[in-house]
Amino acid sequence: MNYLVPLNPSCQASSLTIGGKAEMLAVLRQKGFNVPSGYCLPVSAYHEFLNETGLDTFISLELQRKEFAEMRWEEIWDVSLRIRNHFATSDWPQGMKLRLLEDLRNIPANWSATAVRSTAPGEDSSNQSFAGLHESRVMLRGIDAILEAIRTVWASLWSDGALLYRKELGLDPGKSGMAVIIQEMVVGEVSGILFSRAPMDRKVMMVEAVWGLNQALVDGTIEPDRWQIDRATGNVTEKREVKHSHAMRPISHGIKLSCLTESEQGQSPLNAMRCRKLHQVGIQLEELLGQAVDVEWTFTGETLYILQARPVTKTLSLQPDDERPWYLSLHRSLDNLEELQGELEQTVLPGMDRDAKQMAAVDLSTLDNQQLSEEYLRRKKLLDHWLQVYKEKCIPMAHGLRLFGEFYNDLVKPEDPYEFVSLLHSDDLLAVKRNRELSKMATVIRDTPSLLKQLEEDRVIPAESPLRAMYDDFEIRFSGMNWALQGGLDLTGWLVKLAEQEEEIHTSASLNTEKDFLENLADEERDVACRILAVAKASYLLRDNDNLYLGKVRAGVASAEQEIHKRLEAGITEGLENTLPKDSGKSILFSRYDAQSEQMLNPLVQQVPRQLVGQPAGPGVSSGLARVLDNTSALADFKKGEVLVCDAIEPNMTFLAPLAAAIIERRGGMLIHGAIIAREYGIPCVTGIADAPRIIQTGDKLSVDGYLGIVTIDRVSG
Amino acid sequence: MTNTKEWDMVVELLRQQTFAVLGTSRQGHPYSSLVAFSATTSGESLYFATTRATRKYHNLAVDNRITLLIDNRAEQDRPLYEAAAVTAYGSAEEMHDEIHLEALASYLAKHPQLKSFVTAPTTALFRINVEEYHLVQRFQNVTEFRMSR
Repeated sequence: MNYLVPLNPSCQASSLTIGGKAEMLAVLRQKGFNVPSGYCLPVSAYHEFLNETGLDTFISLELQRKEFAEMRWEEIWDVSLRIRNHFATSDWPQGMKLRLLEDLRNIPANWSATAVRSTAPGEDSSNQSFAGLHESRVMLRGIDAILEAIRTVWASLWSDGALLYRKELGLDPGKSGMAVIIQEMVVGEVSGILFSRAPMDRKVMMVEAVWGLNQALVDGTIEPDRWQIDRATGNVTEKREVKHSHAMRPISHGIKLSCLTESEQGQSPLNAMRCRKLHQVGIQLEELLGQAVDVEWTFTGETLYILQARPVTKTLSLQPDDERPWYLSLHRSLDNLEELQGELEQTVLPGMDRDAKQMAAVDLSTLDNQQLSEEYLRRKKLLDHWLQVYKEKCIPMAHGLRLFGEFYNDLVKPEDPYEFVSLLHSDDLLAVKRNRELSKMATVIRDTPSLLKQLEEDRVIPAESPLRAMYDDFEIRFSGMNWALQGGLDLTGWLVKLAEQEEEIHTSASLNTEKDFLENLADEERDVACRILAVAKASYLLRDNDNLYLGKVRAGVASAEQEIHKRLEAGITEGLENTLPKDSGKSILFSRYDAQSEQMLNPLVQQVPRQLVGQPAGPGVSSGLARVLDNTSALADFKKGEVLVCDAIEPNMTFLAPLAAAIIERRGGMLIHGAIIAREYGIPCVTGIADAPRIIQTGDKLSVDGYLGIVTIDRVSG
Repeated sequence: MTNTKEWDMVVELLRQQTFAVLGTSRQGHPYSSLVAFSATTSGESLYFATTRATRKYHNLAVDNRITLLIDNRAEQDRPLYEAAAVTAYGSAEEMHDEIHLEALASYLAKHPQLKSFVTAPTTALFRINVEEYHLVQRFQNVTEFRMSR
């Protein structure tokens, strides 16, 4: 063998070369446990691949684009996506491939299929807290599929989850590596996890079990039955059974979530005899390792196989405000996302819309102070409720985009890891629809000079003008947006401003590659592809629209706030003095960037930024003068052809996007609102430039490279 | 006084690096040569020495505008993402008389082994009056520094 280490009783390799998981499997085979046969591709192969392809440099550069602590979860996912895609598109070095193929041809011909799993060296048992950070591939047939899976497992060393726990895992581009287990696939009828000491009650043993393979249990798609076993006697002491409906089952290439047969639906995957066998193995493993163990197992017939076992020595303790577990929970299965989509479309968004409309219908000026105060607090409570729902339901839906991104990139292996976004393009984005209506009205004004003149003078739309009906219709359809807060201009003011600009150049980009993509798939893949694509499209739409709906609720709170301010300023204060929170001076529509205080510099030296690197979020190249949006009045000053520079494009600002030459945001990520809008309009966009609104000044001449994520500043005098 | 982290990087390069690439011009054509250099703590002035028979000395006699590239690539252990380079722009002036002593002290503090070279009668010691520094770090992040005089 050139590379592969057989995981058999004579295996002497240490966990440093083959990883803890593989070492454990070899030990278990030595001790006579029933473990599927397999090999390990040691970590040295990973390093050889990285060295020869230059991927090591690529990873280093990716991780250093920005201070890691400054990255948001969306940016971390982007980094991970780019690294993953680079693994998939890097060709195997010729010599290495030949040597590895020679090894893989020695795999016994009687293996019906192969499983490829991660085994990271130096991974200590505390990493059980991080289960699921690295990928596995099962039911592989043929050497090509194995080669492909090896790269995927290697790449998962840099998964977004792993990057989040980079410090705890000791993940270092110079030192870390990944070994790979290549194992005979055992297709079990019942699978699960055994905890020799239950996580919540160390005095009992616990078994979780599902029908079929345990992939669906591990990723949370299927809820398992959970039985407790007395450690001393092996007797089952408690059974918690769930409704059995699905199982992960093998198909010709890969696995699929399938419906259970009627007889399976009616019974638990566990029975007394299986529990006895599991109890026996759990106790034996504890004796062997001298500590509590977690075991992944499967039964074919009544034969028990151990797929993985790990000692449990310590668990990770997290601060209560650590948001990383929440972030990891955003990884959702396809079924879960489909369910979520239904809930968002049928309950959440209509609910936000209903509340926003109801707020807009109240004439605040008719309320007395007491009523106004109550109305404000009621609205504030509604907003808090919807913000919570947004976090719990809307943000996880964004995972639909990622799911499709990974699926597409695995199949197509595109040069541009964001190519998949072009398949999600939709004319149904609310922001795009709204902009189209605004543009139509502006055109009517532009084409009727007398109307333009009249509106410039008194801002009143004549009843006989065709604009009147369009305007009224627009106000109904896009109600709730508080135009008065958009830089001091009302809707008519904005229309005049838009009409004064030349006709817009940016039109919504249109790409139709969906058909090409689907046509090239095998029937089985097409089925799943259609489902994932549908979820991703919904996710793309909702990602944008939910922001707008939430924006309307915000506007409802803001208008009440405004009315209170108005009365307080007029001295009508009774009953309103303590209604507003102390920080209510801040605009609720506009997340203002709190610039850090300027650092002092040697008085002899004047520092001028020249070139800033962020993340490429919308392809294209453009230049123009900067307009830094650091307060609402800057919105009204914005002119067509300027480069929008802001903390984050807020939903209520997107009507400016089609006029912009380019967009630069401090917040990072491909999935943020501004990036989605920029892609829709084909506008170059760079996100994730730390301190952008502070470093760049209004009037700076900027070149924006949306392919590489680079902004160049041409400032003649600092 | 606190400096920005970018300026700290410039100061670090000026202090830690011993060699730099000097750019001069010969009939409109760029000409590069490797020189040992030193810098004042403020970064305002840089020093280097050359014998008077060299090409660079003749080039400077005709056109004293120069660039000096200082970078940390010699530190092989550093990962690529820590690569940094600063280019100084300014003019070179040959040192004479009393200011020569100040320049000499700066140069010898950094390159004591070059004493016989720099004090030879055929060697000229130059001061670069820096007008700007351009720092490139973290692969494409560029910051300019303008020196006031």
